[in-house]
Amino acid sequence: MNEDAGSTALIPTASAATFVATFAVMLAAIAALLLLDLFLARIDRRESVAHAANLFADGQSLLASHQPAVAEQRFASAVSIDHSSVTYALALAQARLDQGKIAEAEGTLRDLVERAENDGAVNLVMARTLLHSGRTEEAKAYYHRAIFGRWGADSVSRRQEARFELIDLLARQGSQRELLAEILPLDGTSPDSVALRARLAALFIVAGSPARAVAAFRDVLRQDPTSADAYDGIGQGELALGNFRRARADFAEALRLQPGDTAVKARLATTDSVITLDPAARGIGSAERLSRSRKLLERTLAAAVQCGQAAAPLAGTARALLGATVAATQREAMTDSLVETATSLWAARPSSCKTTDVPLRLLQGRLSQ
Amino acid sequence: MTSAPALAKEPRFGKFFALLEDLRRREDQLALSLSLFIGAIVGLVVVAFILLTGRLAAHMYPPNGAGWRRIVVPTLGSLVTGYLLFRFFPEARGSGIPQTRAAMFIHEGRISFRTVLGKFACCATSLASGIALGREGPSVHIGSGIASVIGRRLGLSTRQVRWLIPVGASAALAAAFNTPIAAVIFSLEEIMGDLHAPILGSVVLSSTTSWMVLHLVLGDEPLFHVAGYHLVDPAELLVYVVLGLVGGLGSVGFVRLLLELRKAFARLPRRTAWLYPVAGGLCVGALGYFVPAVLGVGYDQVERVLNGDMLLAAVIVLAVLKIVATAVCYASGNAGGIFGPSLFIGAMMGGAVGHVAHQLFPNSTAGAGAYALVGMGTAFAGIIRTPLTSVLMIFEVTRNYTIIVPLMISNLIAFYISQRLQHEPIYEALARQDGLHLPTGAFRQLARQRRVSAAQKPSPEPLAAETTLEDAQQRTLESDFGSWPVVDGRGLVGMVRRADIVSAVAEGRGRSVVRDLVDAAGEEGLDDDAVPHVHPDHPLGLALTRMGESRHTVLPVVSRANVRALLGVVTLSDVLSAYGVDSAGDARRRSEVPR
Repeated sequence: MNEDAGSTALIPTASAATFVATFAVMLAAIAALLLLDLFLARIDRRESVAHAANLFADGQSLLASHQPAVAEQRFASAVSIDHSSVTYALALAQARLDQGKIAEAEGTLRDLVERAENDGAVNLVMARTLLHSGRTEEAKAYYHRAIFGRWGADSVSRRQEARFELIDLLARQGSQRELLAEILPLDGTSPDSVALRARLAALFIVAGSPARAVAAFRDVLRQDPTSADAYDGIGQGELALGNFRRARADFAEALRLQPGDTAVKARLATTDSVITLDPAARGIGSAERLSRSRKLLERTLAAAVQCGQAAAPLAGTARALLGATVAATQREAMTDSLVETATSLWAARPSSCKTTDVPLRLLQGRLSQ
Repeated sequence: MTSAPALAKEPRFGKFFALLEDLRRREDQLALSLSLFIGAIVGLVVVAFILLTGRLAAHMYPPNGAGWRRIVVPTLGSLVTGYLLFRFFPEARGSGIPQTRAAMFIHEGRISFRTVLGKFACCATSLASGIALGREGPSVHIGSGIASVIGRRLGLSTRQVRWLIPVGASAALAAAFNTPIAAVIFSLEEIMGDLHAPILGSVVLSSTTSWMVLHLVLGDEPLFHVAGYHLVDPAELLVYVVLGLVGGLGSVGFVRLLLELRKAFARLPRRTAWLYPVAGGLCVGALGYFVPAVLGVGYDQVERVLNGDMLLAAVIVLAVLKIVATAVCYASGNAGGIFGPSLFIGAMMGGAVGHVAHQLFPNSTAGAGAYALVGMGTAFAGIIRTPLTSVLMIFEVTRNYTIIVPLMISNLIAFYISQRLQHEPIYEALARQDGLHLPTGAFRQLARQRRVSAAQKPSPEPLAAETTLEDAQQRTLESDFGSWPVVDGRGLVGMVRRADIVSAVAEGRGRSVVRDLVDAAGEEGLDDDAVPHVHPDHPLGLALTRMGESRHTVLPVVSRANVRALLGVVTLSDVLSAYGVDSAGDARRRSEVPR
């Protein structure tokens, strides 16, 4: 045979029979090898999956016995054997997160999110991981993906769990609008669960929706009339709504049902302070009304001074009013001026300036409604 | 049973047989069609090889198995395969890449079916037993062997059988690494040594067919699952430059250690060569007893470091131990390749650099995993010396495109350092240790020029090394040759100038022997510097250069497979004549110049 035959057309030296036989052998070999490979692959898959499951089970028991580092290794081995398993990868990410290995956990989860972007559990762990690394806004997005994602069994409670995690985050942040938006969808679910209604009612207060809180706590009371927490909650709601006397009654009832509760005692005392400061309270004479109006303006002026408003024109007006002598016939007009100046002065305070005078804040809140 | 000719006479089979006959008579088309069959068969064989090796390993090392297994299993494995290799499959030793290239360039595309079987059985056993070598090189040898067997069985021409070698190689690599593009480039870049080879179509066909087979059987799984990495800061490129330096130096260290150890093993008596692989088994067993991750190819450990899941101390220890284990295992003659270990070593070196960089500059560097990823390509480029293949391979193995620029930078630096500090690429050096002179990259560029074979003529009867100078003078008196080949019992030992003989006799040293006037060849074959020679496929220009350097007007033409086998000689006047210049230096008329 000429090695350098180049472009010359060559005819193979094998006979036609050998040629056909060789092709037949090749086809037979392909068929036989394919069968062999499929058989081997099946065995391999079965044994690998079983091995990975054993490693995962090992990891879980190690995690239960507080050995997260060793558990993580088992989970990592399980993942390297069975990459398709979301459960193993999720356990690995959670184990890493539990040990504070945030970057590693995130790396594992990023890959997982690409593969199972609608998986609720994956998105939930991703949200937790991002929260640990301080990326709150990204975490919120993943919480939402978890809430609306796909869950296996017990999906309702798992979604609710995810939503409550987000709610807790928003509550810590003080994001009242977002918080309310997350609580409202839960308001219609599980109406028979007392604990859930109580939890939602408390969250309505944090979210700045006291009316909904009062209604929710009343639902709780209907199912559990001796709930001190419900009375306490209603009291807080009424207090925020400016219904001070009702709030006092509710706090008093809560204290009767649970006498040692110091928090309720403190709230009762605050309510009493508000009531004694309220110039619009029913059943008090014009002198008392004038006196309360003065106190209201004095405390409002003090709060304004604390906020750096001492030189403001309204502060000067307030001082002039407080220094004026009032004839008996001018009491009502003076009372109105004092209250009006107090509310204007309060409204003029910078929104960033917070006062420590809780009764004043509550009363001003009512007066501004 | 009806015979094929009888079937051909039946009308319903007539067309089919006519088609086959048509195909049979058109070799180029046949070779293209064969690529599909070779791709499918090689893909299926390599998948079987991978699965069998994995299952065997799982049974040899059951979960929670005793520690003694890690010493006993590789020792026994290397003992068994060592004997089989020595007694039945001597060609199946080692990686398979140098053997594949030798088949391509020296043995006219011939790889025996026995070698294919031996490679499959010995490598499966040795890799499963924990020998620290890879499966990819052997897969390439097996794939090329299958292609060679099919081509020869069909009676294809030598040229076509040779061209089937890279076809089988690309199919094997595509299945072994799950990297169809890199497989094509590797076959052209390393096996053929020519990225513009005319067999590109066949190589692509076989690679894709094999890859499809792999997917059909094992599904769409990359070799490594890696988190998405990207360049954190442009300044981070400097760290990748450092990685290139470390990778390059590490690669050179590994290659030199392996070659030196192999040279040392080659000095031991040949009759006990079956026992030497046990040294590799014992070494890896002893290391594996304390650090189990050293055993086997270790792709699970590579995946861990790629995902940033290993501590700095662990990656350094593993890099060092793997270099030692792989070098000893390979040098001692075990069956297995160095592709996989290169990736392992590179990943660990990269992981180490990444750990240090990330500790020093946490805000402007990616995690250690990103560096491990780039490190894999860096070591591959440094050790195997195929920079283009290494970039594509890492891309395909990890399916991660974002790290490609740092990868290219590190690869090129490692490749450059490796070229500077270790002139001969590893596969060429390994072949040379076996007495095979594979064509170098530089030679391949010149190969398209006029060849020595065009000017080669039969050798005059060589002078025996023990001939006296007086006799030698007498024998060479009537000849036009200015230099004469000198031989002994082993074959060619060098060349002697007639002028040197005459001068020595005139000085009264007529009773001395010819050997005294030549530089004898060493144990490993001819030394290019001491005894100039050429191969038939060398360009004529190289013959002229070597004549000039050695001051011989006659050079021996020797076989690439056995450099002591004298095939003929080439003289200065014949070389000049081939270029169209007569011995007086005048150009001949245009019509006389050979085409």
